[in-house]
Amino acid sequence: MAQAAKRITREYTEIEANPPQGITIQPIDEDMFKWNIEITGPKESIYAGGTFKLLLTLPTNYPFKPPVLSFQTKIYHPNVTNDDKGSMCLGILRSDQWKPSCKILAVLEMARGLLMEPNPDDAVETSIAEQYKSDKAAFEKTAKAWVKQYAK
Amino acid sequence: MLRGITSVRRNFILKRELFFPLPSKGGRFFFSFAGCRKRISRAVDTESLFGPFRIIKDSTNAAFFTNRALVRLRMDMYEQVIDDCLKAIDLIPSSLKAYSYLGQAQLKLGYPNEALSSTLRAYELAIAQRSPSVGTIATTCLEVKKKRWELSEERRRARESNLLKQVTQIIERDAEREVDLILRSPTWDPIESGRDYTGSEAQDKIDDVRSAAREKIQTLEDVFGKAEAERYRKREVPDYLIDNITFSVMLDPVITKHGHSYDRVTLLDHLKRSSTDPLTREPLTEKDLRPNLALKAACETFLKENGWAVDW
Repeated sequence: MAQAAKRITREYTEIEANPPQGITIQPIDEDMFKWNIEITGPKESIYAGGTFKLLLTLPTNYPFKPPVLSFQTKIYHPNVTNDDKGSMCLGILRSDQWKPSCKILAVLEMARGLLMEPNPDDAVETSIAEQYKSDKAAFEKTAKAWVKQYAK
Repeated sequence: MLRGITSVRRNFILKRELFFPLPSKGGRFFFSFAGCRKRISRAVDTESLFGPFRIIKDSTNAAFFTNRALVRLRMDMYEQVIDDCLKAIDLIPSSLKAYSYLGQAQLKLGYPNEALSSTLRAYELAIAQRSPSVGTIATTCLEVKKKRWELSEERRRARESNLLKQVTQIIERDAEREVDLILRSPTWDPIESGRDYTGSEAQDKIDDVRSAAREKIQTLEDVFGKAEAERYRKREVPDYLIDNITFSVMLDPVITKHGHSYDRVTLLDHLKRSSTDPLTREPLTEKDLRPNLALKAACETFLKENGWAVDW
């Protein structure tokens, strides 16, 4: 726990010193195990113009276990569960694929990268993924409408 | 508080009755004693609580000494802790607890080098015995290194500030001596020199001497100040000394077959959960690890001169 706190603090300092584009971070408590994240939709993406609030939860045995990332802002996306949890569960964030050497910054950048380019082959919302693959125009229409409705 | 003591006492008595008929299984008794030690340390009346245990005093049982050492450690009786630990080590040379408490007592008494070698010994034993407390002991090793650096820094600063003071005094004394010479010099004696002495020339000369001395002292202080500032400016830890899991300077780096190094304790901790390389996720087991001695030496050297890096 103490070790986890140390690493988290170090990572936080690193991110603060060199903030990534389109991502802001704000730890909620002093113990730093929960962070409020804001990600702006990348300009070239269908999520452009939207600001998405996320919650990053770090386990007490971080970095041996992966962080949990969830969208607080509703988003129409094949890799984010379309429920009140808004969980983003894929690739490096899965317990069986997580690597302790992976940094929070990489996780956040991956999340923003997914706004740029969804990954329908590793989807949690299969129907959205289907639509993304077969009828991209309809997918984009809904996604953009949700941005307008929820992420402004 | 009083009630707490009573219940602890009652516990002790119960346990004593339970275990006393079985002298051959002394270990169990000690175990139950160890379980109560936290409560003992909090109790005000430690000596009297500790009292009942004198009956099981057994000078051939190392656990008696390590248990007493722990109690004494909590009571700040460091000299006696050292005695107990040395006795325990005599009885069981591989006593992890004895070396661990010994290191803590030595540190408290201000012997960081001895404390470090005891704690490192405890660490080696903990690794060899696969003790669950290895993580804590590893952290203590780093803390001792930090403490050792702090003490040596303290001494260095005291030494340097003494030197500064001494040199300043020499400069001042030299200046005053020169002033004295000027005042005594016959050249400046109005009668001897036969000049129209106003004293202003002498005063000018004296002012010059004093301002030169002040300038020297100022330069000296600047140089010392710069050297001190320099020490604080260079506070960065090279990436190659950092464990990629904890982001701390390593104590005992081990290398994987891919050539990446991690601190042994953290990597073992990771392997307990998942037998994979922390970077590539390829299969990795403890058997694949080799100590990285060169890197270990580099970490040691760095921490010796940069103890602050433990908290970095």
